[in-house]
Amino acid sequence: MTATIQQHPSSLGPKAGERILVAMSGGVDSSVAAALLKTQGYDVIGVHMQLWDHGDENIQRLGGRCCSTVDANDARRVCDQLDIPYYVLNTQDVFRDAVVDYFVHEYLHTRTPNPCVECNNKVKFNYLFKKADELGCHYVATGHYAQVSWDGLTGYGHLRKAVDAQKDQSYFLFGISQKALSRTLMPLGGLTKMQVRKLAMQFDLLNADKPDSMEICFIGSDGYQSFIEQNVSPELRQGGMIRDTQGVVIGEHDGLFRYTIGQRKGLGGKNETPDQEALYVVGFDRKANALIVGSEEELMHDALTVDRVNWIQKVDGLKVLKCRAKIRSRHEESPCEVIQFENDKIEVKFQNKQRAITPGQAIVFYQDSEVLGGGFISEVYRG
Amino acid sequence: MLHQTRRGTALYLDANAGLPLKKPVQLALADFLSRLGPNPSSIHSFGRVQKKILAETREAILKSISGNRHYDVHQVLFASSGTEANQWAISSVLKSNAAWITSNTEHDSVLQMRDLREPALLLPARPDGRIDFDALPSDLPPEVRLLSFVLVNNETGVINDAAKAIEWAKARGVLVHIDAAQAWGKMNFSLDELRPDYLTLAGHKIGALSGIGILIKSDGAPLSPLILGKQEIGRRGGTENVIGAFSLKEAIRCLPSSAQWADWQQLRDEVEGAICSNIPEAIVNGQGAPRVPGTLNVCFRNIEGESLVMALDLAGYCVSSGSACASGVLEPSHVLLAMGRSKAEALSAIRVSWADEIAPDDRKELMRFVDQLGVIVNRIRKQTTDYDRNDSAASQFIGT
Repeated sequence: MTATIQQHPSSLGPKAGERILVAMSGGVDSSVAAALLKTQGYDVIGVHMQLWDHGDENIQRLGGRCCSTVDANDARRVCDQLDIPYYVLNTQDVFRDAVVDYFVHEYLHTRTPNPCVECNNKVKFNYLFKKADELGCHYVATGHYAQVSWDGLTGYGHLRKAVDAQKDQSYFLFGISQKALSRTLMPLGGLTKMQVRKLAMQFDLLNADKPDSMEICFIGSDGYQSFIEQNVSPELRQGGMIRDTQGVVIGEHDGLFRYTIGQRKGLGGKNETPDQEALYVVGFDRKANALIVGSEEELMHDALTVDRVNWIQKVDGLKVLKCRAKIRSRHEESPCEVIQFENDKIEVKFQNKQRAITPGQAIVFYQDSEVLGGGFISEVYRG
Repeated sequence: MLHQTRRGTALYLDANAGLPLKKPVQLALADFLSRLGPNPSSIHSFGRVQKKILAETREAILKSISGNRHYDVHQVLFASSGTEANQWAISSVLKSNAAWITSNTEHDSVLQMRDLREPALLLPARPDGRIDFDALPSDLPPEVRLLSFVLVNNETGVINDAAKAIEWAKARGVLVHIDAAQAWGKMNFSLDELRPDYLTLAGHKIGALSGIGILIKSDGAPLSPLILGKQEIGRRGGTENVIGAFSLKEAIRCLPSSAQWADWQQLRDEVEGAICSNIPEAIVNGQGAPRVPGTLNVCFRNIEGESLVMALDLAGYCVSSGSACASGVLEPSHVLLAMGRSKAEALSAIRVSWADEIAPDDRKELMRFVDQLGVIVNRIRKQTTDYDRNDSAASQFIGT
């Protein structure tokens, strides 16, 4: 079977037999990534990051979530099969500070967090690189679906969407710096999920049939609301009023963290009857601790500001950038213009109005299949 | 110490975790395998042969630790591990609602017994690692019936003042349990002199198969079964581990002499000296206390040392550190914490240990190990100081 496996210009990329650290979750993707690199002759070291202690749930399979002790053992067994060294790294403290605390903090500030982005930014493409250095590895490989390549002349790194549009994870990787990119390998970027599963079977990997983890890895089966309830004292997440965009109070809520922009639920408003227009969360009034609901039309905006921006590609700050942007991972990129300000704050204007642009979420800028960069949505308005 | 592995040669420096099977033991085992019968309890000739091996092993054990005068073979019992032997003894006393005293430097298997009953007193450790037996109260706390302590600490190699502890206990009618797993084959001690009520040993520490532990008990010391059945004088059910016992018998034949211990000591002192003079901010844990000759525990300041053991493994050196939990994540050693090390220091500790004949090349290899250790410590220290946790990828790794 021919597969499009990442090739590098011979002057760039790891040398023959070079030591490469592969981050292994115990899932099939990172396992195939490790197997591919092993067959390419590199000195592969498998590492499992223990990000979170699932307590009593540690000794069982967690269905749609990573990473219990069972997952750590799956990764270990794959490394046995591949005959490569395997270690477990305790990253619980870093993960809690960088991802979990961030997650809770964002919800309490009426933003919808994107923990996988922060995990990539702070843990997988930051802290893990430090560990790689400690273990004598320059390159770090992951099982992400995205394509990393380097310009043959300049050595400049490029991040592109994966070949498999359904599995593409480039959206979550916008925060990678050039320095990290120069040391990153993503062997699965040119493969479809189906090809990866086939490879897993060809390699006879024990987790070839393991289902993908889809949920947030540290949120238990009780869901994120329960998590926040357990980790935040009630005074910091009090209930309040629900009002519409005219200011009319129509109900009560039990904590703003339970809602996200665009959400439509039985909001309990006595106004909502089957033939009435549906109501959606359109905003939050933090000061009044109020939830603001409105019509579908009121969810549509075309302008926003973005902060904590990272540019992977060099962008001229003095020119308006015409590109396409995604405002959440399941969203089709839409044409927009990016106006750059100073202090890494930028303004974005979409050609067409977008539904439910959500503060706290990531916005990622594409040019064709290439990720130019991205940031976090700050304020939303109509341009 | 040098072994061939799939990644090349490796220096095995983790004897305290367990010794690879010694060559004479391997050969004897290979020969024995064809004569191995399934069950010592059988009345027929096959069973008798297995029983004989068990009996001979019990005799050999008593002889090797000078216990022939006051102990008899019926008091030497087999378990699956040192852990089981420890818990077998301790739980037997605790189940009568008795209280007990132990130290905060015990092996995990003993400290697990805190789930059964919290000790009336947890003896602290001195900074040099020895259990502080001065903390034993002159008035016996109510219902205390057992004093359990480790003779040699598995992490630091520190030798505790057993005589002092035993004197205190005997004067008050308190039962004594000694965990001697790390002492066997590393120092001289006499069962007849110590006269404990319980003594624990473990096979893989002297180069026998793992899967066999020993509990020696005095007549009159209570012992209740953890597993019901008729084996081991009705105190431990389950078909006996004859091949384990056989390997023990053979390993006892290869126990080192005092001359070898002197060799180990000299080598250890050399390695220790080299580490301290070549690597800044190294702390030897247990320095100043009496220690068994082949153990060296050292940690480092100003380093996030979690990956030290991993990096050494990749360089071909097998050492150990702290303890690992079920998933393999490193945890700081409670022994080092008890000695006053900080969590970070404890996480950077490595234990180097040997318990076998020193080959001619070993000395050279160990000096090379010290060099490599210095390089790796430097490398990791640099990462510790350069890395800024608060920098997101965007700023810390920003390219030009």
